[in-house]
Amino acid sequence: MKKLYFFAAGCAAFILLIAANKSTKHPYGLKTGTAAVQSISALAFGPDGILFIGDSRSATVFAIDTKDKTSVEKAAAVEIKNIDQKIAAALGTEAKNIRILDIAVNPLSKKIYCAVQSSDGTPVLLALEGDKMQTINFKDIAFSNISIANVPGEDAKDKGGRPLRDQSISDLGYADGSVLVSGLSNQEFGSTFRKIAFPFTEKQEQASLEIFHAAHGKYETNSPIRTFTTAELNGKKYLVASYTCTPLVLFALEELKPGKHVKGRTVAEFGAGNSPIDMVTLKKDGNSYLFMANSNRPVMRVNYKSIETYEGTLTEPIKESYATAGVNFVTLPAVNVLQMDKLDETQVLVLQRRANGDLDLWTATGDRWI
Amino acid sequence: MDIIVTFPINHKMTRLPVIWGLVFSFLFIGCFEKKSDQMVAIEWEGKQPRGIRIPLKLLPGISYDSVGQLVHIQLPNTKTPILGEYSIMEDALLFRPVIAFTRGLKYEVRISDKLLSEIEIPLDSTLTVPEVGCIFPTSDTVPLNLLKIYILFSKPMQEGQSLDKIKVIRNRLDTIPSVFLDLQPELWNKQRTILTLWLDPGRIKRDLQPNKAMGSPLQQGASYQILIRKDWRDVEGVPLANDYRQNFVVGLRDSLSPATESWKIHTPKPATTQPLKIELQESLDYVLLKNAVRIHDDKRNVINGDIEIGTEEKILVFIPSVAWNAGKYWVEVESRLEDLAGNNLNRLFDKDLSKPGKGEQKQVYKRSFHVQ
Repeated sequence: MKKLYFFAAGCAAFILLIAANKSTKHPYGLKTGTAAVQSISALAFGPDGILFIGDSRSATVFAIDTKDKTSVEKAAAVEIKNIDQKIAAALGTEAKNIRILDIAVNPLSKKIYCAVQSSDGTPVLLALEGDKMQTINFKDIAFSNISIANVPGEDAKDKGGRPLRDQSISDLGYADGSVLVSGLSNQEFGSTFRKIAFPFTEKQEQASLEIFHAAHGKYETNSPIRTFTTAELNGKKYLVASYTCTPLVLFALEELKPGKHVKGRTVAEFGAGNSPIDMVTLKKDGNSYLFMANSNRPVMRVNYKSIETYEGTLTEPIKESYATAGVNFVTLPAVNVLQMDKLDETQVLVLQRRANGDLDLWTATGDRWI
Repeated sequence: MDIIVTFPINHKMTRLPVIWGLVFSFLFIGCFEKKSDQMVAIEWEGKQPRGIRIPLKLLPGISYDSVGQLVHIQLPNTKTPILGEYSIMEDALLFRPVIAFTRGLKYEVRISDKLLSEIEIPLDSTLTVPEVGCIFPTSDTVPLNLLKIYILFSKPMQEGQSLDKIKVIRNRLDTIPSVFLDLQPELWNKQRTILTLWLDPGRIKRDLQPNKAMGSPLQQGASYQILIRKDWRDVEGVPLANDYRQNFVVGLRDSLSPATESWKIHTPKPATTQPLKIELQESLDYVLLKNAVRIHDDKRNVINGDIEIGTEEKILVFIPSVAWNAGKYWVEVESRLEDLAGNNLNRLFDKDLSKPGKGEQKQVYKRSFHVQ
């Protein structure tokens, strides 16, 4: 009889354990613990308040649950003057000792998340609400992660003791159930672009792509993508990528498959001595516009319609100095824009170094920019 | 010079003062301990000021739940409480800021907006000064289409400073802008001791608009000096010891991929740890030579050892950890190995589509050698 009681108690405990496990199971397979984030190079929001963090130092992409899921249709315009000084004061240091590495807006709540690095390399993730700042603690947080240290497709035997490659994550995005990661190597000059299905699993096929673009149909280069976005053109989904040498190149998303040599279509060149920084898409009156911030040029605006109608690829060299080629674009009166993200369908969040040296976070409206 | 004066001692006479001295010392230490118990102090983790310790005696009547609202640490002249965590450690409240406190700055401890204490984080005089070890390529002549340089530092450096701290001077006269690509984040190794800088690839790639408009970043036949300013600081805030300068002249364009078949291999003797020396016939990429070349035996066992790069990155020396056996070995080179112009073993930096390309696309290139 005693044995029977023990057996029944054991069964009950087991059922309770299973039930408890079931009730805490995260829909995206995230587990609670400490996310060992060593650096924050890029941020991007996925579904349901999931924030992806590109960590170059540990060659890892983290997915963390911000639990920030309250939907807000229209965001209030943001204006924080001298944001670097305000962040520095909240971190107990001076503005010269911190750098803002990326800014991402949660598309659901429209809350702003900001990646900051102190001069000793400590990464900090801040959530901004008006003038108030709050740190996102990586302890006791629901997260999952995936390593991007290995070159996909290379098995252990092929690697033959080769050291892991250092690379810097240059941009991160989420589209169609996949995390897209572009990387810059600090060794070889080449493109590393990955498409990783989310939720992450332990055994995961990662697509690593060789992405090429051509200059005027004469020369072809494998070059690193600096920043990218995704867009639908003529009913087809595209990766819109900009390179360290500023051509704007389109790739059909459906063609991005593992081990493939994908050749993109160069639709524009945005001039010399410049490196693209960020891209966002805004809509107005049924039209979509691409905005691109640059290291040495003002923000540029391109109507997606002109990309759709530009069927060719650049074939003729440009003769004019500092001229640009391909689809038409408009330069906006916004220089030294260091970061940009979409605040909502009609507003862009802009981090800009002003002419007087101030670093301000402000909101550009579609009415002003389109 | 120290002068030591000695006096003859009468032990009987000294006993009483010694006893009183000891009593006084204990009392003094007791007072000191009592005082330090009541002082706000810095918590150190190695050389890092990682927290502030506030004795609970200084916080009468404050409950644990209200600590976050009532106790604030802040910089003077700001009304912004510093972000961090509070915890109770035995008889003190410990505040740990999100990032370490900054040396040389003063911090205020405030309770209900009243100043309790001000504490200054001292500067560290024991820190070592960072130095520039080397700039690669080391050759005094570089190709017209030089793609990148590496700068090696002795300590981890502060990021985001490179374009401000590095200047390029042409023909000893002009400081020229836009030689290096403005890339944020910068390309550092994990230790932040090696910085990779690319010359603007848009200007190197033939026929791309920036190349047509502005030409190559470097001019053939011109001489250049790279100047690294000494006000560049390391992660501990210490600036470089001196300005660093390196000169080079610009030669012809390099439009050929490196060819491993032209490498001259000097084989070592068996039962020795003599180095294997390879003459590369041209300057190749320093970091890739260190990372993309391996030696293995005929059974594909990797031979452990160190790779050293010799004169002008034209020589690779492999020093094995254990003695060579007689037999066949392989030098295995990943195809990503590049020359100074970014041409790798498989392809040129920019491929001319009107000309037939190199048909063979291998992941690794191999050369065998015999130890005998």
